[in-house]
Amino acid sequence: MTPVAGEGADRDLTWLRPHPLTMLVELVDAIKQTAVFLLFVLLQRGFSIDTVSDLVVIAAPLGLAGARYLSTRYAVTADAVHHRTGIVRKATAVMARTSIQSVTTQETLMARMTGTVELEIADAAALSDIRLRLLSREDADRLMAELGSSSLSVSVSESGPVGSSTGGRDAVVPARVADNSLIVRSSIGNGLSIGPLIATTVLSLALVVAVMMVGLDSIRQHLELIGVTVLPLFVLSVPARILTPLVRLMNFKLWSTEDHLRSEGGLFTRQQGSSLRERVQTVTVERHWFGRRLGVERVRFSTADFDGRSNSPSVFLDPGARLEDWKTLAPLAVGSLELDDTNLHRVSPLTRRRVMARFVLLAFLILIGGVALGLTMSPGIGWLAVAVAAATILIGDLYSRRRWERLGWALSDNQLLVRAGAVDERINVMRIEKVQSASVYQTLLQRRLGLATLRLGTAGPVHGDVTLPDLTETDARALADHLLRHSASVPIARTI
Amino acid sequence: MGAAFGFVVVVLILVVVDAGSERLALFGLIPAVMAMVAGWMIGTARWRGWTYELTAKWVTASWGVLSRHTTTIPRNRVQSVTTEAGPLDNLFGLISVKVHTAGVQDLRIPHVHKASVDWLKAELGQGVAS
Repeated sequence: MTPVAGEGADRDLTWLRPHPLTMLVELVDAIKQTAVFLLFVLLQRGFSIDTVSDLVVIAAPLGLAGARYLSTRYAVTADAVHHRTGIVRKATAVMARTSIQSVTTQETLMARMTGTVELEIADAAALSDIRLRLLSREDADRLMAELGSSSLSVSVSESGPVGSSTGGRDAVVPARVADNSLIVRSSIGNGLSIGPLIATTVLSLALVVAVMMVGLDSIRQHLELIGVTVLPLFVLSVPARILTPLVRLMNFKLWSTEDHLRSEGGLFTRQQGSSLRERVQTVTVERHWFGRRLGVERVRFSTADFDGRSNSPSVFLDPGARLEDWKTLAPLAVGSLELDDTNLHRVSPLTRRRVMARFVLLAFLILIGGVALGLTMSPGIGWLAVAVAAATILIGDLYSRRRWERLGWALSDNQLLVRAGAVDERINVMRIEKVQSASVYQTLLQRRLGLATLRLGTAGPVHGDVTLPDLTETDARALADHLLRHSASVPIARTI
Repeated sequence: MGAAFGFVVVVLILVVVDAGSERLALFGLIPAVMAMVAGWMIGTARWRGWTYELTAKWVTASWGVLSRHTTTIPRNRVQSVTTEAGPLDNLFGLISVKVHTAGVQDLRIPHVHKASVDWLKAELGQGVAS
């Protein structure tokens, strides 16, 4: 890359430009942004280009793309990464190298054909990530090597370090090799998780009720409309939930060095991510109901990167681990595991009453609605409502018991583990020093039952926070107090 | 307050448009008065429930009438402190203070008197991220 001259105080910096193919990406963005305006003009002119003004309008996206490319530059110094963008309003971002949470790259199919890469550098703040698109592979490798406190032994150009090792501090240990069969199973398990199934069941019941209320003839009249609008969404939603992550997560690999956690995955668009291991805030294990039946779980590493793609599910999420593999993966982030999910402290059994209260309310509403419909339309609806209300109470009892049995927590000198979920389970493991804040929350019913929910904030995004519902109020406040005292004694630099 | 104000405005408009319609004015005034009383009661309950505490080590805020929240942040976890005030706040000399951490959980202290805000910001700033 040819260095670009800087201005004023930036003259000492060696500014570099992204790859010229960036103009193509900027052109696509510019067309998207001006699409409505262009369409309007073309419609007005009957799609004919016969005046200078029309040519200017058509050339606007091209000019915008070129201007954006020429105004974008970046520089790396010993202390920081500088990034300048903007045509009229110029913005310069300066990110200290010690603030870098993670570095990720993304290669679409076209980018791989052209030897280019999109690179994102994330810190812990919101909306301040530096995004460089596009860089040549060599420039990306050079930049990633410069930014690592220990240089990464694996470059963008290589397909993966399995079986290779540079030894010493940069020794790369494959923590998870590509196993697409597990990823397929995990995607199926996730796609068939209980949420979409409940939505499908509710929609089916709604259709049945609609048929009973307005009659099949009325439904037939609108069948075509329903068939064109509702049914495709209905039918395609489940396969879409399975196929979309599958495409993003195939060929997933995970490595660790002494300092870094590194991942790579993706079928058409390849994503690579790298983060300091000490930056990981929490490790979350997700076990969907169907996934458990298929013998798989997902393990997510949440860093303090607030909004960047480096913390998107596709990069620091192991999408297909065998059940219990989290016990070998979690130490990559939290250190030697001091806890596991057996022999946990239980929350108060009064949590069952709180959960049952919701199901009782739901059953009551179903009963009232069903009886009303039964009195006005058909007695059959009333009896159906009674049956559904009874089933709701029974399901509530089973669900509340199962939830209470699975809800638990464990605490050691340095780590906290929380398990929750009746149907889709979730285990959170974190180092206590990562706690940024603690909230104790009580609904009206919880106050009456003497319960409270404890929510621990970390430097990660929302799914990096840890929530422990329905502790006794005393336990919640004592646990919050203990964790905050420990956290307050640790310098913040170790917690982000 | 806003709902009650809205009701009063609607009633005034109705009265002006259909001057002399006493029944209409009565039907509009009753909900307006009820809304004002309800607003006053809710506002008082919320004010009573909202407290904050600053100690050497942490800052704690509690709020909520039906559901109670208590959030505690160690002072050495405070990343930044922001303040905001709308037109009504400015009228009464009040400012809302938000304490930010590195995560998504922030702590909000609403409607602090202007005189106290500088002290609060100085105190919280001393503990910032050390």
